[in-house]
Amino acid sequence: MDPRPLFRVATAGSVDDGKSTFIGRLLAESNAIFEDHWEALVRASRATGEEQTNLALLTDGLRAEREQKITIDVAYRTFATARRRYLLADTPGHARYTRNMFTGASTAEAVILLLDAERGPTRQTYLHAFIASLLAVPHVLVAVNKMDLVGYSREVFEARAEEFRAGVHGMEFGDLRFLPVSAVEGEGIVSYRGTMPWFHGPSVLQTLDDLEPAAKPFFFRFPVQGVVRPGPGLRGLMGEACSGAIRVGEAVQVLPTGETTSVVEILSPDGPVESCAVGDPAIVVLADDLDVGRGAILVRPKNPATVAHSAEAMVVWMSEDPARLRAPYRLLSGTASALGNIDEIAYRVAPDTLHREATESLELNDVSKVRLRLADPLCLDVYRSDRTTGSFELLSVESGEVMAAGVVLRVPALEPEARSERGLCVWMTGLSGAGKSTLSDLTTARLRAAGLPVVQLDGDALRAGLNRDLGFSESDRTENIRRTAEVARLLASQGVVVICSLISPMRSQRELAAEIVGEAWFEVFVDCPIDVAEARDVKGLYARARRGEIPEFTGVSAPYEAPMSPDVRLDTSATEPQAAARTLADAVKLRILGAQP
Amino acid sequence: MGVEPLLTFRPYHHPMALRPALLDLESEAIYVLRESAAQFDRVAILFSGGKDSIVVASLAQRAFAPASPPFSLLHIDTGHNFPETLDFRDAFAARTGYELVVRRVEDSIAAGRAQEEPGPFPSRNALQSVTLMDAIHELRLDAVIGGARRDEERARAKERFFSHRDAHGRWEPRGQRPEVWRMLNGHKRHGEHFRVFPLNNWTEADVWEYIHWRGLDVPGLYFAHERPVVERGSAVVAITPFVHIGEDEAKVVRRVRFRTVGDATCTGAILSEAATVQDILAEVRSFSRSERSTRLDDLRSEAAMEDRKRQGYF
Repeated sequence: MDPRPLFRVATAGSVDDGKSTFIGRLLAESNAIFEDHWEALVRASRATGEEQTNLALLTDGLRAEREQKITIDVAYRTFATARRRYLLADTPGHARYTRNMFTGASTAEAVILLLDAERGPTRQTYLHAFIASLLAVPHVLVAVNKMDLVGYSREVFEARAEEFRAGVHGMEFGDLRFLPVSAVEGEGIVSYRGTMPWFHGPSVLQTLDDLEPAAKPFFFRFPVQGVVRPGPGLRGLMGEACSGAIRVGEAVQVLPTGETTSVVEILSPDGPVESCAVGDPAIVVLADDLDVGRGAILVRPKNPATVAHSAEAMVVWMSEDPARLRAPYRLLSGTASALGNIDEIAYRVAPDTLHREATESLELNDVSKVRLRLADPLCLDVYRSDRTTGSFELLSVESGEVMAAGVVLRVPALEPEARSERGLCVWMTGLSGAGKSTLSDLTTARLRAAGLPVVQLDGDALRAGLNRDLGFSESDRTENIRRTAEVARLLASQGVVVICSLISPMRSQRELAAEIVGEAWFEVFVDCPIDVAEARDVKGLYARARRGEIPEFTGVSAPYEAPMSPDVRLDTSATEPQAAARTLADAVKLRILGAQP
Repeated sequence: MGVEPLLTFRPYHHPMALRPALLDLESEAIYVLRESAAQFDRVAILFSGGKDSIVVASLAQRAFAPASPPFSLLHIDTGHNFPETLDFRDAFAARTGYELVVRRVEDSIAAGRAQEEPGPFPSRNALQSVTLMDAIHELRLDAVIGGARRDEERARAKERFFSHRDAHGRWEPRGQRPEVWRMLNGHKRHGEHFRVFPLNNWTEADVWEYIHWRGLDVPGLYFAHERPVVERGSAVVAITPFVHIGEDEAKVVRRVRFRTVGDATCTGAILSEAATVQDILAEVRSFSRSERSTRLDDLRSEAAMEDRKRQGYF
C-alpha cells in the first residue's frame, strides 16, 4: 500500500493576490495535472484571448467563477510529493465569500496565506489570518507572492513580513512562517532557482513536507453516530473517537445523561478488537443496557466534558438572512443536536479594523462573540481542547440551511435554577381516547430529558381529588376547567412546564382557561377521528355511552368543538406516539426559547 | 478597544496524520455512510456495477458489520450496457444480499417522461437524470449515495459530502451549504433530498488500491481482453449494437480494457495489457490523461458537467 499519509492544507488570502495561479503552479509542478485537463486549460485561455495559460481556470470549476474571474466556492484538489499526499482546499479571497474560507480552513493542518508583495496585506488578508487563528490551524505559511514584480527584493519581503506581523498583533499562531514566492514565474514553489539568493529557507513544497502534524488531545471523546444490533440482544454504538482511545473493560460515562458503565466489546469492521482510537470506525458495546442513542458522547469518568445549557462562542455568520436575537436555531455539534438561540451578542469583530464593536444584529460573514442558550443539554468542550466537541453549526429550524458556524470559548456548567425563568401551560384538548395521556407521558419524559421541570395535570386525576366536589353539569364542568387553569397558571409563573390533559370540548371553556393562564398559554389539539378513538376505547367509556349509561358524552351525545387555531395540532391516528411526542416537545422547547424576555 | 487574544493556542490533532492515506480515506467514507444511515430514512446506493459503486457498496458492508447496511442498490439502466456489467451487477447483489432495484431509461421514454436524442445511435447518458428523479420520487428516497470523486472533474471538485438537492433534484452550486469540520448536515424540507459522496477525496488510484487491498471483485471489462473495436483518433470505441460504426471505419481486434464501464455509447476503451488489479494499479499511476478523458460526454463544452449536475445528474 502507498505509505504516504494525507495532509490537509488550505489556501487563503485577498482577491487578486494570485491564489489560483499559485495553486495552478503547485499542481503543475507536482505533476498533478492530467494532460487532457491541461489541454482544456490552454484551449480555454486562448478562447478568452489570454497570452499566458490561465492557471486559475484549473480550480475555478464553476461557470460563474470563470465569468467573474473570482473564486466563489471552495475547490478541493489533490497533489502529492514523495513524502505526503495533499488535500488542498482552495478558498475564495473575496470578502463576500469569507464563509467559504472558514469552511476550507476548518479541516486544515496548515493554511497558506497569500500576500501581494507589491500591494502588501489588505483587510481581507488580516481577516483570513484572524480566522486561521480562531480555528487554531497549527501552521500558517505566509507566501509573499509576486516577488517578480518587486525585483525579488529582500527589503520589500522583509518589510511586508514586518507589516503583517504588526497587523496580526494579538492573534495567536502556533507556527507562523514567511516565504517569498512568484507563482507566475514558479519561483519558490518547488525550489528557488537563484532569483533570491538572500533567502535560505526551503520552498513551499519542502516546507509543507516538513511540517509536524500537531499533537493529539488525549481525553477520550466518542460521539455516537447511531445504534446497530451486531448480534442477538446486543446493542452496539457506532462511532469514531474524535480524540483519545478506549480499551475493552474500561469504565465510561455516557453524556449528557451521566450514567457510568463499562465497555464489554469493541468491534472493528474486521471483527472484535481490544481498543479503538481516533480514526478507527468502531462499534462499542456497553455492559449495561442504557438508553444511549445518536448524539450521546462516551467519555472517561475522570475526564468528562461539560454538560451545558449555554455557551460563549465565536461565530461566523454564513447566511444572507441576518441573525435574529433569541430566535430559535438548531445547533449541531458533532453528532448531537439541540434547539437553541443567540441570547446575547457581546461584540462584532469589525472586518476592516478587527476591533470589537457593539452590534444588535449579525450579517453575512460577520465574526462575533455571542452567548448561546440551549433548550436541550449538550455536551461541549472548549474548542482549543477538542475541535469536534468544541465546534458547532447553527441551522435554520425550518429549512436546515446553515446559518452560522462557531467555536466554543467557554462553557458554564449546568445551572438548573437559572433555566426556570419562563414556564408554559401546554393545554391538550381532544376526544376521550384521542391519546392525550399517552402523549402527555411521552412528552413529559422528553422535556425532563432536556432538563425542564414538568408537571402533568390530568383531567381524571384532578376529578379524583382537587375537583372531587364537582359533577358534570354545565357550570361544574366550567368550574373544573377554571380550577385546572388557575393551578396551571401558578405553576407556569414559577417556571414549570405544565401539561394539562382535559377533553375541554367547548371553545368557550378553553377561552376562559386561556384568559386565566395568559401569556403562558399553549394550546395543543390532539386530533383523532371519533371512530378511531372509539375503537381504542381503553376505559370502555364509549361502549357505556352508546348504551346510554353516560349522558352527554363528548363525541357521542355531546358536541366537540375543535380549536380554530391551536399552537400545535397532532393527528394521533396518522402519527406514531413517539413521533408526535417529539414534535410536541420540540414545539414546546421552541416556544420557551422564543418567549425569553 | 484593541484586538485581544481570543484563544490561547493549543494545537489540535487532525485525526488524519501519519497513517497511509487509504486508511484515513476508508475511515472517512465509513463515517459518511454511517451519518447517512443515521440522518436519512430511505437511502439507496447508486449501483452501476462499476468500480466506484462496488467500492461504495463494499464500504457500506464494513461500516455496519456484522449487521447489514440499511441501504438498497439502485441501478439506473440506460439500456446501453455491456452484458458483462449487468451479469456482474446481478451476481454482486445475490452474493452480498443487497436488495437491487433497477429502473430503466427505456421505461421513462415509453412513458413520455424523457425524449430520446434524435439520430440513429442516441446517447441516453443525460436521460438518466429523468429516470433517477422518477425513481427517487417513486421509492421516496431522501438520500442517494454515489461513488463520484472530486478529482474527476473541476465542477465535482466543489462537491460536498452531503450535497443538498431541491424538490426538483436541482443542484445550486453557488448556494451550496458550507460543510464545516466533519459535521454533516442532512436537515431538509419535505420533498428535498441529498446526494452523498463518501469517496469525494479519493483518486482513481485509491479506488484500485482499495480493490486490491480488500480483494474486491470487479467486472472483467476492467482487465485487458481481446475485443473488436474501431479506432477514432486517440479514442478506442468498442463495437456494440449501440454505437454507429461507419462503412469506412476499419474494424480491428485489439487488446483493450475499460477505465469506466458506464453507458456503452459514451465509454471508450484503452489499449492495455493489464491483466491483474496490480497491473491496473501500476498503469493508473502512470496515466497522464484523466479517467473522464475516455468519457465522450464531458467533451461537449467547458461546463458540460456543471450543467448536467444542475439538472440532477450524479
